[in-house]
Parts: sequence; structure tokens; C-alpha cells
Amino acid sequence: MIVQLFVQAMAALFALFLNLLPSWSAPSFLTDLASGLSSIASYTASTSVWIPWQAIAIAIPILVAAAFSALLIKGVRMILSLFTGGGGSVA
Amino acid sequence: MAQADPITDATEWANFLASHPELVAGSGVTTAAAACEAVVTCPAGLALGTFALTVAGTSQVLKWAFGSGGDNRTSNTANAAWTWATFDCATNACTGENYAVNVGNAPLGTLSSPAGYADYSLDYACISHDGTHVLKYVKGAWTPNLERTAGNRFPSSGTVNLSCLPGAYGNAGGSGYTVAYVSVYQIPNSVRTEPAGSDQAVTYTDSQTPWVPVPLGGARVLEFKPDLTPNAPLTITTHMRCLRGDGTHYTVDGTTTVATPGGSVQFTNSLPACTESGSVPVVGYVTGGRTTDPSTQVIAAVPQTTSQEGTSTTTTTNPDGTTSTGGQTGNNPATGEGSTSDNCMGAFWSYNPVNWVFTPIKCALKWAFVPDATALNASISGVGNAWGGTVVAHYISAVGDVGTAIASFGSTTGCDGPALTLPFNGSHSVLTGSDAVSVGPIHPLSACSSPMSTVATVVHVVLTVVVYMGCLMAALTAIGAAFGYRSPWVSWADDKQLELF
Repeated sequence: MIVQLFVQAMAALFALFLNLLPSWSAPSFLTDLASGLSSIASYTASTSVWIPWQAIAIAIPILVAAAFSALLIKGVRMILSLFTGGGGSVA
Repeated sequence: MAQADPITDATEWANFLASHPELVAGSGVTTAAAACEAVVTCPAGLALGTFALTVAGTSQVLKWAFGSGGDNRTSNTANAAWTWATFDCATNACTGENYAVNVGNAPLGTLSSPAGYADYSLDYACISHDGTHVLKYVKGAWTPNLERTAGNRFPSSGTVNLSCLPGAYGNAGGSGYTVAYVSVYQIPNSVRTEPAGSDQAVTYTDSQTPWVPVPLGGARVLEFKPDLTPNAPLTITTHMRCLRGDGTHYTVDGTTTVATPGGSVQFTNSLPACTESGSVPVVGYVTGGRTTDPSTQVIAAVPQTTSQEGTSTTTTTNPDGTTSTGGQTGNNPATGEGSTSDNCMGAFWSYNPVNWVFTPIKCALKWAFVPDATALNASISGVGNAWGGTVVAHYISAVGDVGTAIASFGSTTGCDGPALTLPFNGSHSVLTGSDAVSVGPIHPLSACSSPMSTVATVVHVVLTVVVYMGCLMAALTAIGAAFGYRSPWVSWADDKQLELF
């Protein structure tokens, strides 16, 4: 009973916290993105014997992630360069 | 709509077969999809529709696909177009009615929905067959928000794209055909998503019908008035009936709110969310009852669950009168009042003095620290329901759909290549009538046999290497440029350093 009450209390608290969170749906562009990608996948599937779409599907997110990482690194370096001990310019 | 992977899990396939008793797992077809093979046997009395498909040797499959009740279409011979105008959901309650459209070896095009059908949704599957045997059954996954969100629900006008990949489901050497198997169901008005703030307070009395539909959305107020026995406490329990893609249902129980004796009870929480991925809410409802004397004061048909002592099987009587058996609830505690001494204190009654001390302590510890499985499940499911309705869960689900879509790239293994159809027959041809020559889909880039298969393999490998190497070099260039380094492979373009990085 002790464990049960504890679990129920914690679950109630957690559920209360979760219920306080907004219940907005994901934006339509995100849901439409999945639908669009699926359409592209269906269109390209017939050529998968020739073209490595799976490799391309892996490479593109990696490139996007690398580009964002580079921008982030550059931004951090620019901010750090404003401080005396941060070194020189990164321009 | 996302294209899901073929059913390869034995359990899932067994569940599919179980939900379609007209299918009998068979043998006799040697195909790569033998694991998913099924021989179609039509049950006695199953009527073939009034329409006929032009694909030879497909009657067995078509009987199965078209034999479901409620199919009132008058014609369906087009390979690509299929309109909602051929349906009459007002006459036939489209609650999982099954329809099919033959798509041959061409992708299924679009489904057009006329105005007024915004509260209907669908699930679909793609079936590849060779005329006798189902070679592969592929679920067409839907986007849950397509059905749930008012703006994204099946459009009141316009089209929805379905896709059954041609020749991609293990059809034997390209000789098989694909049937899109579409389940149409109606979303009751009770689950129509209303704009925020439009929910109105609804008052229900004791005479309310058992299944009380409530609108989906945010918080709302439902009030049970204590008309019958004012001094009896009232409860309101929320439920959500959910529909799976295969047409089966399950129910998620929500929270139970208890009123003070003599007062009313208000339900102000959200309805529980459907817990299984890909399922959609069909109807939300609340049940209420008197807690003091449920045998005489039940004001609504609360599902009655009974179980035998010491067993793990429950029998539930649903509000609509149906019963269901099952559910692992764990062993029920014994009362100790029967002829057997299987209760916790049973060992106490012995001549062993150790038991006189040990048994009460054991029972006390068990009472204190061993939680009841049912209560534990209820607590955990309550958290799960709350989580399912949060914005975080919605975003994770949407991102997961994107990941699923990305993962579907290149997931097919067909070797036919793109299909090209040359319709030389018909009214626009120089050859008409019996002289018409139908040139079916041709595959100019087919790589199913040598030497093209070898060429395709080499091209595929080379392109794979190029893609991965290019990706690696580009990623290193971007990261290196952020640190001020210039990749050696871009040194030839000293004056063209990427200003972006």
C-alpha cells in the first residue's frame, strides 16, 4: 500500500504537470513534410535499382547537420572573440 | 501519406490473417515473399461485386477485396482514378467498410472527395498478387493528424494521394498485380475537433444514454446532476474508443472523477488519447455511476469487469451489450473466506511457531510494499494518456513520421525500374475496337537480367561511393571552414572561399 500510494501520488503529480503543458498539434509544415517525403520516396522507388536513394537520404541530413554545426561553431567563436581573453577575430 | 514497410513480423502477419478469416495461409507459391503468402479462399455466399476488373486471373483476390458489405460502387475499372462520388456513406455507414481498386502495375493516383465528406477518413493497404495468391500485403501508413486535425482531416474537397508502388511487393517477375485495399470509415461528429474555446458546457442528467459522446479538444465541463438519489456519490469516467488501421478497436480508459455526496460532478479534463501508433479516436464518451450501490443506481452502462478469484482472465461487459474476454490483470487476491487456505494468512494456521510470527510479518510487508497491479497499470496509463496529449508528444510523433518517410527511401527492391505505359488502344488510337493493341507497362531500365543487372549494380555501387565521399568531403569542408581551415580539395579555389563559413 505504501509503494502503491507513492506511485499513485507521483503519477498524479506527473500527470498534472503533463496536463499543464499545451496540447498544440505539430505545425502543418512538419506533418506535410512527412507526406511530401513519402511522395518523393514513392516516386523514386522504381529507380532505386540504379540510384542509391537510401545513401542520398542519409547524406542530405548529414550535410544539413554539418552546415548548421559549422554555423553554430562560427557563431560561438565570434562571440568568444569579443572577450579579451578569447583570442582574435574569426572573420 | 507515408508508405509503411511490408509486414514481415510473424505476429503482425498472424494478426492480419486472424482479422481476415477469409484468408488462409497456404503454400504452393515459390516466391521471395513466401513468408507473407496466403491463399485466398472466398467464404460461401460471398458475392462478387457488380463491377469487374480487366485484369485476368484476379477473381479470387477481387472477391476478397470487393466482397465486403456496403460496397455500392457501380464501376471501378480505372487504374488510376477513383472518386469518392462512387460512395454513399450516408447509406452505408463507412465504419471500416472495405473497398478496393485495382492499380495493376501503375501507381494508384488520387482519391477525390466531394464536399461534405470531411468527416470521413481512410486507411489503405497495397496488395500484390499473382491472381491466386497474395504475395505481399503492405500497410499504407497514415498521418494521424490527417484525421484528427480539422484543417488536415480528409479534405472536404480536393484530393489525397495514395501510393501503391508498382511491382514492388514481390510480384513474380513483374507478372503480378497490385490492389489497393482501402478501408473507409466515418469520424463521428462527436470527435470533431472544434476550435479552441468553442466547447460549450454540457449538462447530462441521470437519464443520459449510456454512451455519452463528448467532443475532442481542450478542457470542457460535463456535469452529472444527481437527479435520482442526491445523497449518493457520483462518478464520471472518461473513455476513448480508438480505431486501428486494420479496422479493430480498442478502448483507453481515462480518469475517474468523484463528486461529493449530494453534489454534482464535473468533468473538466481532456479525453484520454489513443495510445497505439497510427490509431485514431473514434468516439470519446463518459460513463457515470453511483459508487454506493451500483447494483441499483447505475445511471449509465458502465463496463462491468468480472474476474475469477485466482485467475488472470477478465470478462468485460461493454456499454453496447457486447462482452469481451481477456486482459492480463494478475492474480486476484484471495479473500481467505473460502474452503481453501490460499490467502496470505493461510500458513499461519499450523503447528509451526515460526509461521505464527513469520506469516503476519510477511503479509504486513506484502500489504505495505507490493502494489496492486491493476492500480499500478491505471496510474501508469494515466501518465501515458497525459503525455500523449502534450505538444511534446505531438512534435515527437510528427518528427517520427518524417524519420519514417526518410527511412522509406530506397526501401523497395524491385528491379523493373520505372514503368512506362503506352495506351495505344482506346478512342484516341488509330486502332480501335477488337484491333486495339494494349501496350502494357514497359520497363526500359529493367535490371532484372544480365547484362543490365550487372550494369545497374556497378552504377549503384559507384553512385553510392560518390554520394558518401561527396558527403564526407562537403561536411569536412564546412566544419573545417568554421575553424578557419581550408580543405585541400578546395585549395584550387583560393579566391572562392566560402564566405558563409
